[in-house]
Amino acid sequence: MREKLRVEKQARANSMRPGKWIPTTCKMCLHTCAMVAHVSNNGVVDRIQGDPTCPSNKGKNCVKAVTGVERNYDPYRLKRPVKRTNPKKGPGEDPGWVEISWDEALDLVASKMKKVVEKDPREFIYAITDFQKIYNWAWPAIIGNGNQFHVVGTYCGGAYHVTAGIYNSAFAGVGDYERCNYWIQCGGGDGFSSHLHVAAGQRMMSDARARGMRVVCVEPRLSTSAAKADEWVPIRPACDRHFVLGLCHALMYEHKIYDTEYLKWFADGGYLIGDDGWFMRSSTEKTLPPEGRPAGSMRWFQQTREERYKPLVWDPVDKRAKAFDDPTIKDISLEGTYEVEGKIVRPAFQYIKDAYKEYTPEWTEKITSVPAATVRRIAKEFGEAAQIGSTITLDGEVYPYRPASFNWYRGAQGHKYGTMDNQSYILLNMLVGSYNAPGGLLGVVLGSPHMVWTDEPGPDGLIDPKPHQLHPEIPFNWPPNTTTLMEIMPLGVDPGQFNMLTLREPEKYDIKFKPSTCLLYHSNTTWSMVGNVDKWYDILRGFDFIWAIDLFHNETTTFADVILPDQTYLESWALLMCEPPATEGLNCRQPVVEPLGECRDGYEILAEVAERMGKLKEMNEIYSFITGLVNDPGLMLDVNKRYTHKEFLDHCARYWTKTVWPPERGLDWFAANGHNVVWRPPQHKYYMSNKRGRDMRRPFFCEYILKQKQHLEENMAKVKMPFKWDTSEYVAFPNGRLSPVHSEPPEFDMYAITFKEHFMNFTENLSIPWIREIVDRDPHHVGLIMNPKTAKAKGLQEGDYIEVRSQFGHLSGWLVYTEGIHPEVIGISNATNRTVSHNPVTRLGGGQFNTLLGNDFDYTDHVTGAMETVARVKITKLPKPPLPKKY
Amino acid sequence: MTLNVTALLKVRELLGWSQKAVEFTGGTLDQLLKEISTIDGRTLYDIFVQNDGGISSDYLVWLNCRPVKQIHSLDIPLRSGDKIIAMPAIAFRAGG
Repeated sequence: MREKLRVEKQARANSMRPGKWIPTTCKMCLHTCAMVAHVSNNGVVDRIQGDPTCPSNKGKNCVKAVTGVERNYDPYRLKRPVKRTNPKKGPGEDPGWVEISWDEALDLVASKMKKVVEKDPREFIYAITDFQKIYNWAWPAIIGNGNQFHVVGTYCGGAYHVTAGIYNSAFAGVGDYERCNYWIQCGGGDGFSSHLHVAAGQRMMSDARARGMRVVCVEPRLSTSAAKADEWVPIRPACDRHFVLGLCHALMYEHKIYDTEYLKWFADGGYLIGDDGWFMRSSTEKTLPPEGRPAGSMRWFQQTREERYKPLVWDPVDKRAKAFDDPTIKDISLEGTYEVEGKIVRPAFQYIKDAYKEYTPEWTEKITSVPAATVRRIAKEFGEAAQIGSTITLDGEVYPYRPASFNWYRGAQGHKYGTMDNQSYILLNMLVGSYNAPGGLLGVVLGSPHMVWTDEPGPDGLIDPKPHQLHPEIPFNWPPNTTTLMEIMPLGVDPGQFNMLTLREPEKYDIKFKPSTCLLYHSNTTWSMVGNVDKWYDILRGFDFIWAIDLFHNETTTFADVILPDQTYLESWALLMCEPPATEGLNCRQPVVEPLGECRDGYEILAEVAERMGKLKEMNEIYSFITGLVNDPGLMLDVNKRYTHKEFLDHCARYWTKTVWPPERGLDWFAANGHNVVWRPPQHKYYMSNKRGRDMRRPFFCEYILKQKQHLEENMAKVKMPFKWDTSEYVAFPNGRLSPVHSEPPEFDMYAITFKEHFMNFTENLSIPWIREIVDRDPHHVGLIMNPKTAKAKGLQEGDYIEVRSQFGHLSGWLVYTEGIHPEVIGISNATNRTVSHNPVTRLGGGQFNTLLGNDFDYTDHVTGAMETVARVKITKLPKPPLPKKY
Repeated sequence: MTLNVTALLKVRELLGWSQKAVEFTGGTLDQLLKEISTIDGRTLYDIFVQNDGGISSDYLVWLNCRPVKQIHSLDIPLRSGDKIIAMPAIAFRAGG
């Protein structure tokens, strides 16, 4: 073996021509692994590997990173602007692309955009999904436009980010790899295959497993995480919350394991709740504005114009209710029923516990199919692993030590009641005190380095909720100005799926304008959007003009009128925040090779279009605002100057280092050094968890969500809306309400789920030969996977050609057996979905998973706009078509 | 005291300037808005503040990187060196 490795290493070395290594940053997914690229003396990149100096991925990278070379030199890359000559649009139509000059392309785009601006800026609609240049998402704001064609996708954590913001001022969360001992993984791939910072996560997960951390994976499918876990718990889809409610019941009622210290002093578990379901507040003690405004204090932002009386807690020593911040409080009751000012009240913990009495492990088993005994055992193991009461000293500070984490992502919350799903997982971590504690679940702040704050005091002694992690709140307005109806989702994240409703039947939703011009920027919208794909094609046909910025053709750009060729990450600049919580700092991406053909940087394409539209000033202002440069007069962009992308990033580098990671450093420093990433110190990583009295309790009972509901209802009552918008999903704590997928007509007797591996993310990756080869060797990714017992009961056998049909759409494919799937489920890999190809490497599938999904109000989480990503389907055998062509 | 005021987009056009160190005799945010005049003789307070005393949903005011929302009281005491950003409320899709 050693000899084989030596020979392989030598062979690799021999294949590389003399050259140099250049530090840069990967972009084969949205994360930001530091890497080094080897570039030969004749200017060809021939090898990519992890940057060993970066403490996050420590020289590791994933398979995608290596294939970046193939993406860069893909012979099917767009190298010059192209214009369609065939006005007929559709997947079967040849667009008749002809190459045109940049001048002609930009003139055409700018003239169309100017017309829109002159007529009605709301007629512009866009899908911008380059996560590493997140400032470009704000480009449409230069014309005051916010019509998002697509943001939240099937694979995104729509509700996840909102709840992380409300409960933790964070964008995401992940278990503490360094100190966790018991990790429940539910519907996510952290540490194994996907979600946050894969290469770093895999490395840290390996280290954690080597020191003995146990992993229990709860999923309908034997995923990569489940296959490598200590235990796989197969679960019926779309009921992970019900599994967790069962864990909460078992911890509260049977094992009696919960962190009373945390619930009393670091959460609002002791706040008294009236029978009306709201905080019981003092009738005399108001929250008063602070005296003056001490430097650095943001307490003024707790002060609202409406009078606010203080919530009460029950002091069992003095046997009376006191304001939550009363300095005489000796202890706080979590349980019991009390009478205060003639009203019967219960502490929030008791209130929730009473509501969870019915969620027994037996109830859980009926819904989830997970045996009651398993629910009880896992609850006990999780509770005991949390070591409630223990402490750890880090850098001289004593912290609570809670080495148990419930970790989740897309699959566990991409559902109709996604907000409640997320609330339940947070609540479980809070119950054992592991939320933000060493060993527990840690907040991950967004990659906008100017957002230097994380948690801050808000009203009522609670953390200031920051649900709007991606953009400021869209204020209520009717009729709406957005086709995603963001005006009625004060906590929402741009439900792009609503475009299918509002663009097809605008009058039903009071939409008074008709989008005519569309920008697709690194977005294969029809491929990633939920709902019947033929209807999306109709919508695309309805736009007068579509312009795209991309590397390749795809299913959606097939409908474009002009495509402008972007540069790859090996040809362009970026400056990226290295994902916390383990590390923090910036990774620099720099051009390591000359761009192919006439490809241009996406930022510079947008700047050129803005200038030709007469909107350069606005672009500089918007980009200054969202990057924080506006706060530094010396670094704010000059509104009259046209910046290169590199110049713009130099301003960002100086501002972000000056304010967050001093000393001030320009982009040239990053180009030479690659990154300034360091391990996060404990006081950043475990924020607030060891500090009493910081007025930042986490909301075990989230009255804030009830307030949002109340404001929305008041606003909606003032206008006449042509449809009913249900607000019953706004709840202070999660309940056992079931997704409508569980009550569809009985002939739809199977659940359909989709899945991927980290190397298959983004449409483009499936056209990379090395990735295609890996995918094609895995039977799970070339067919529709089903448990053999279920298949046989339906008279099906492996190799049959089958149709999967839901109420909304259908697809077909070849049946593949696997024991690694729940018997009620058919699994449909992301790799089988392609329907249009520019590249013979891409294998076309029998249809797209998303077409099976409902995309109307009934299948959308009304709080955040997250969508149900599980379908109910029936399966029938079809005559076998000719075998697909081999490439 | 000196405050750093930045006006973006339409607010820049209303004021005729983009950034300014504003000398302020002291007081609160609503008083500052009353002291800043637009080209057409109104004040930012006239334009930004609605009848109930809150910031109109058509505008955004940020104080030291934090949004002053409709629900907030505007009698926030200002301090020398505070940074105020005023702009129309347009739909961003990133950062913020």
